[in-house]
Amino acid sequence: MYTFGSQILALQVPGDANPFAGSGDVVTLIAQTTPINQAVLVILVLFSVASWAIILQKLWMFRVLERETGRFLDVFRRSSKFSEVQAVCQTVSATPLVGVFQAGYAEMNAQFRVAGGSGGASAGAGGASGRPTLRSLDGVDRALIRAATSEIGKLERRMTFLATTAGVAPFIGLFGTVVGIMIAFQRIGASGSTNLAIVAPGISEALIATAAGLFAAIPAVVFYNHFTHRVKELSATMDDFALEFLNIAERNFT
Amino acid sequence: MSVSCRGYPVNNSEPEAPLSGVTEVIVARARRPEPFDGMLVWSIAAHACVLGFLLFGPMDWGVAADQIPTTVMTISLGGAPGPRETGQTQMGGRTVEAPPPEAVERAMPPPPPREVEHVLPVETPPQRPRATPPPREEPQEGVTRTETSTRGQGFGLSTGGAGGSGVQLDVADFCCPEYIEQMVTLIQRNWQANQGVRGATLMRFVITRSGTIENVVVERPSGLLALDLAAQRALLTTRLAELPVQFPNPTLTVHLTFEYQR
Repeated sequence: MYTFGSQILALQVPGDANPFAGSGDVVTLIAQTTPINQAVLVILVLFSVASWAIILQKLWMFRVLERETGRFLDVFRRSSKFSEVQAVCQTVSATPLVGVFQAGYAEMNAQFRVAGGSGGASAGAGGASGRPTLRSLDGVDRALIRAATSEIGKLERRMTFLATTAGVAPFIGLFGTVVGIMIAFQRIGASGSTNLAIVAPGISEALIATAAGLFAAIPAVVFYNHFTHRVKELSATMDDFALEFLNIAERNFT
Repeated sequence: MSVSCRGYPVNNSEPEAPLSGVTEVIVARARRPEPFDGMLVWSIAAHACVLGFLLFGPMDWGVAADQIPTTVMTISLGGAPGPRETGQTQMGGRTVEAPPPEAVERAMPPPPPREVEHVLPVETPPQRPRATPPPREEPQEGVTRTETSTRGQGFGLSTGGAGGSGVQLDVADFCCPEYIEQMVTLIQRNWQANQGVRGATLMRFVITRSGTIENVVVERPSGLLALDLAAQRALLTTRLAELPVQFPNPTLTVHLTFEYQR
């Protein structure tokens, strides 16, 4: 014995009966949200704009800076006089090594000058009586450390904002979502219906804030870590350069 | 290696000046401008682009690409899943019509009406429903409810009862239920339902304005190729009437489950 098979049929009327039309529409979603949510969204957009401006500036800066660091080290190791290096400094001024070098060079010149001024012409800087000598290598070292610290501070400038964005933006978004869901539940309670069509849109609106928070925070986290790493690398390069500079100074001027 | 001090004047009258040299260098370098404003402009422009894309770009978020189309009508033959909504529908005034006998002959001998099947499942001769079919070509119009064999779930109207195939219609928006009824009948006529195995194939197809069936797709295969092919064959060999004029859209997409009982 066999029975008829059964058929289940679903018909679709394309076009106007589509309930998805408009529900994914960002404009209406944002327009329907509460003022608190809209304020949260505006704040998050501002955070995102500022953090991306910092990201772009830092990316550009590090790109130029690493290229010029290579060029500067190349010149520094090939030239036989500090004055030659000093002359090149203006063309590769983006690299922090230039700051370190110039500080050390200025300190050395200052020491030579003091020695030349107080001790007479016999030990004059660049004088004919022989090569100049450094009075204090530690002084040069301190100048190099000062410059390196300053350069690192400059490299890290505005990075705290990235860290702040990374840490705070998700919470701001979460705040917006919580407020939005609170209001959505109030509306649901007022309407007295548990129909999904009433429950879902409010929650969907509220979740936009979290999405916006993550949108602002994720690039900030990624690039903050990236830039921290780059700064660490450059800091190591500067330390290395300072030691190299000190070695050359000690070898030649003591 | 030697240090040249050219260009750096020795100034004995100012002993502090050389000491401030290092500080001057450091401060001067710290004050070097950074192109932050330009980057701010770029960032604003990029965000404006993203916002513009969100606001004015495609808004379906990829949902509409392959979404399950909106179901406005559910029909089940043979008393399978019932309607989801209750209440009298447009089908209240619908035609009550038995399937034509030739459909019964081509497809398979129909089982007895359901009441009979439940009460006397074994003794029922298979020819019995064919012996007393309702008048075939004269559909009866009327607003009265018709007694059927299906177990309705509090829904508007059940039709049928002949040939063991109860028809349940749940019509929401589609204008012309008689067209669907006719379509089901025509498709069933070409459908080899008796494949010897159980299974269900969900097919999707598009009815054009002229009544041809296009874009026949196996939406949810049954797992057995023979069942899918039988359903496909039924659709491909069916030629329907033109879409009713009351229906405004150029095409009608239909999802049809072919349920093979055995």
